[in-house]
Amino acid sequence: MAGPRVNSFFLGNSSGVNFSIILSPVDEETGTLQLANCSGSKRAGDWNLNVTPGPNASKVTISLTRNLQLCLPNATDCCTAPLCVAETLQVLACRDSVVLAHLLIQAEIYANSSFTGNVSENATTIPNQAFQPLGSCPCDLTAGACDVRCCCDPECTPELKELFSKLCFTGVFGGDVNPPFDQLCSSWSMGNKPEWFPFLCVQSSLNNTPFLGYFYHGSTSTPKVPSFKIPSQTSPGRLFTGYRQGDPVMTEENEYFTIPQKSMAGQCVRSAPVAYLQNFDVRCLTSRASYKEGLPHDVRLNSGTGDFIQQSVVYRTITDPGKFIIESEGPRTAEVLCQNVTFAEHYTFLCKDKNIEQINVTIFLGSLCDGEILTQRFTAKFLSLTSTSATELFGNPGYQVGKPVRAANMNASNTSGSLNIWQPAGRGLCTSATYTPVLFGLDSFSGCTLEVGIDEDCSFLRGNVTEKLDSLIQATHVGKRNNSSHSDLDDWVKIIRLDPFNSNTSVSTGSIKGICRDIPANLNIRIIFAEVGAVQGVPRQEILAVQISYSTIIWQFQCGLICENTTSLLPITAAVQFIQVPAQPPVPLTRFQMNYTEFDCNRNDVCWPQLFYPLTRFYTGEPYSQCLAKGLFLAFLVLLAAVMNNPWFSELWRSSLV
Amino acid sequence: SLLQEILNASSQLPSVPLQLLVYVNGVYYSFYFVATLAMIMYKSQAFSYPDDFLAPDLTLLFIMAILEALRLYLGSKGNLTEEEAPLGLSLAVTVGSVLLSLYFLVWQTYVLRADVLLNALLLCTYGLESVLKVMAIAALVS
Repeated sequence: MAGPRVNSFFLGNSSGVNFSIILSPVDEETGTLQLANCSGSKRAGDWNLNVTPGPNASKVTISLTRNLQLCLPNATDCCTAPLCVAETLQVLACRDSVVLAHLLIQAEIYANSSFTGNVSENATTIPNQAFQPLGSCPCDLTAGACDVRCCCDPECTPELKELFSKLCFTGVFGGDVNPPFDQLCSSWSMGNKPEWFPFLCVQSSLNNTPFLGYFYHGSTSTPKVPSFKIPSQTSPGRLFTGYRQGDPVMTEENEYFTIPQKSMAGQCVRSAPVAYLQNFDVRCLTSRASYKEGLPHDVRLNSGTGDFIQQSVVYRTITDPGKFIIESEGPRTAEVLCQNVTFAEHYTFLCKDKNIEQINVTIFLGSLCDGEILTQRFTAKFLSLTSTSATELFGNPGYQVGKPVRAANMNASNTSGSLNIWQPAGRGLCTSATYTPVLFGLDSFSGCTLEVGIDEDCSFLRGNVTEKLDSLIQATHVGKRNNSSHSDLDDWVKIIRLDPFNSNTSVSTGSIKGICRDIPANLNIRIIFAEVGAVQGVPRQEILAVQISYSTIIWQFQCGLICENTTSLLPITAAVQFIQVPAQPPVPLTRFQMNYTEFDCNRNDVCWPQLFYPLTRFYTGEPYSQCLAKGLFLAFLVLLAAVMNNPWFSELWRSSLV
Repeated sequence: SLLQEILNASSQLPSVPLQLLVYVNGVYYSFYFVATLAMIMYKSQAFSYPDDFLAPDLTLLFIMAILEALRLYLGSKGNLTEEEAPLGLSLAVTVGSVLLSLYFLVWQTYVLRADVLLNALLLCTYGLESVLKVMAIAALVS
């Protein structure tokens, strides 16, 4: 049995040495110990002596062989008191009745305090949390026994506590669940005392502290399970007053008309509602296994006035499937399953005011086989019937996020222009890239790569890059508003161009091949806009200025292991940035207001402009009209009180009553 | 004769110090009431009151105000009309007021230092008043 044991070493040759252990009583009065002689044995009382001989030293082990569990008095073979063993032993090493070495052991062993009794079924009452913290002694883990190092344990007797009193757990775990708080008068050591501290510090005892539980006593209510359903417009003859900008287009059965679109997370949602006057152009990936048909095209749509219109569908076949299909590199089996699927759907809604007059759908079909990935394209365009061009003269005249920026080329006879950025395709080369118009409010960054040989002439490269980037900007002016008309020059803002520094003379690296300086490979389009007014609550935004600049890079031919005569890639990029400025410059501060911080609410907590805070514009808790109404009502009440206190009023009152 | 009666009665004048003290007590108590009410409101915002300990504090404050008004009225009336009964009743009510003041001094949920000062001063005033009332009663009885 493994119990308390102690090891020691007898140094020296242990041949012929007898080891013995003797229990020696201590004289009660004098406290002296009698030295023993060599007449002991290897067992004494509950103690055992074990010797492991070795060449130079022998290991001597003394072990206790009794049960150390604490038990009831009068029981046998266990400890009746916490202090179980208090004995003095002597270990002797004798050779031929001569004492060679002498080891004195004084043992004071306490009973094991682990609980081995029955677990009672009575539940402990949990005190009211508001008055007593649950777990006033968090380290009291065993019930019915003393937890070592837990000074707040009520089951620990004072003698036991003395053993570990210096090693008690501190803090909350040790039972200090009511730490002194800042507002106690006795916590003078707190550095940051407020000015009122001498009078408003808490003098009462620590039993009532703000750390006690603060519990909610309100009423509870069972929540209704929310039904996430589209609120159905049940009445069939409902007065449909037309579509406003952003309303979903509805079908005959009062369901949403859906076309696959891109969600905010970027993935394609197969049935997403279409918003009125919101054009979109999305590309969705699909394969043969995951292909799903959309809404059938014989569904009739609500035109806005209550009657329903049929979609006029035109079917076409794809001529160039390479633009849509990417073949995956899987193993090609002999038999491939192919299916006839829609490659692209183009919806054109012809609208007049708040109603849809006509819907034209062009659907491109093609065959999709197993192992191929198809990029489906869905576009929707809302056109006005009153004009044939793609401009909208209704709705908000200002720019809205997502609408293309209007551009015009005032120098040419045909004043239409465009502001584009790259739309790469295929491998991302500039030769196969197309353009996509710059959309208002959407900061974009796109580019394509140009293949450049190692012995490319630098000035030729510069010209090529500049020409390619210039082809994105086919305009000299940009429209201030969405409905800027070409005939009015006031509606347009001239594009400020910062052309790249054209250096014909700085090239001194002509002899070094494969490196070119000052290549204007990055185009920056900065569009500055402001919010000027609002139309029906929707803010109207206008473009104030457009600046186009170039950033230059040093192009270096990227060699592989050896510099072969292949082509290197040069990325050319175009970045669009929209900067919002306030429509009106802020009112300049006087020098007095700048020097005295009491007038500046940004630099000071308390400032003069906020003196009548609830009545000033700084208070944004309620609408200003409500604040003003309440203030005026209070002023009226004060006036009424003042008038009624006047003596002549009471006389008037009395005379009117009599 | 009438002159003798008046001269005899002049030895039993109303106690001026007691009247003064009653007046000062009235003024001080109004200040005390407002201050204690404000401090209870401050405590309820700054600290958390365990379950419904705020209601007893406020109730006892209002009871104390009523008792104080009663006590001062009886004391003043008894002094001016030179009758022992109101003075004695006033003394009895003072015992209740002292207990309530002790509550606010020691047994309140949170006792601030300002509470200690106000209540200590109030208790001193009560003590002094009680002594003067006993003296007045003794003068009237004898």
